[in-house]
Amino acid sequence: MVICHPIHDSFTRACADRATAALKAAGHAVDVIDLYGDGFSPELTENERQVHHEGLELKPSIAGHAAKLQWANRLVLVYPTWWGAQPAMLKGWFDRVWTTGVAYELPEGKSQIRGLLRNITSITAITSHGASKFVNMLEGEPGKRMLSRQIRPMCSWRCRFRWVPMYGVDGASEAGRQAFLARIGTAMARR
Amino acid sequence: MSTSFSHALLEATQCGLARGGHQYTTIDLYADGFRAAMTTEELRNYLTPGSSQDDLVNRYIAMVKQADGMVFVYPTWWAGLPAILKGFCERVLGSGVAFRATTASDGAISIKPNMRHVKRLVGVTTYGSSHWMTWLTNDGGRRILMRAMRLNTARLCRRTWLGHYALEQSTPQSRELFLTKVENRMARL
Repeated sequence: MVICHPIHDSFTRACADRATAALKAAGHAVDVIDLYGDGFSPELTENERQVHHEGLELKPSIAGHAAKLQWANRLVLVYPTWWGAQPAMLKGWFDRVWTTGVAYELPEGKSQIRGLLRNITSITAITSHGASKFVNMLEGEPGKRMLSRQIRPMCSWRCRFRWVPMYGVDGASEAGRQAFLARIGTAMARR
Repeated sequence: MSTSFSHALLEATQCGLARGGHQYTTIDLYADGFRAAMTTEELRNYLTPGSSQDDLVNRYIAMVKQADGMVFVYPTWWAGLPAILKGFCERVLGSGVAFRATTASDGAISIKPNMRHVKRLVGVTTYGSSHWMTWLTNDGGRRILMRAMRLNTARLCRRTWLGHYALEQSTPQSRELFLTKVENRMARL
């Protein structure tokens, strides 16, 4: 599970806690990456860009994250949607960690990359949107589509993508938030 | 990286803008040491204009307020903006800059566009994927800059998109051609 929110007592955190509890209750082992808590640095560095096309052995800075990805069979992302997509912190995690040798390889002489994270059979995105569903539709849901169309093909052939969004969270009532937390519990119970 | 193709694109953009008689200022996020991640304090005071404690953010805000157009030059990664540019949108183009937020008595927040002075948005970018693959898997960076951003700019704001696709299979000729195209298009803005 990857959590991305700078405030410790945020609604995103409550969502992550609910998801963790539901997964543990179902008997799953949960490994949490808390990007803000861990002080992750989201900017791809010049050195990392230079070895971008090399294998994992030349990328010690992301080895820990890569090992967790190779271990997991389910990826749960919990984050707020800003400007229609993942926060820079989470985008940086994809930029830096999901590289050649971890997420995909480019076979010799081929022009299409091939996914390597075949162990991941399910991706769930739990996210809150300040804006309404209509505004997000106008923006084209770049965050949702990155996960379903770019990230999912790097995973198992039968990888499911589950989208658990809460639109209009800015004007949401307490009851609306509680209902969303209950929905997370249901979503986690499914594969 | 100062030797990158994106930097060559930046130079072509600057040459084109100068040729067309446009005045411009350049923000180089990596060279300035900009930090992409929104901080706890910034998010807590997100709706209060000018609340950032970061001098760099405040300098960028002053530059954006002067602009009647914005040009974004970047490589597309995972069909989106590099984190550092996404962070620029989040930390710099906030309340009082990109939009105005008003809180009603019942706590509901309403957002109004605040970049009416921006009449042109331009994206100059490179893709690893081919044009049709980018279309198929969705171009998130373009959607953020050309759609989400466009909701906050002038009503008649025009948009220009220039992309070099399939960069892995590119040739020196194709890159040269694209640089010329970018420069000429910028001169004609």
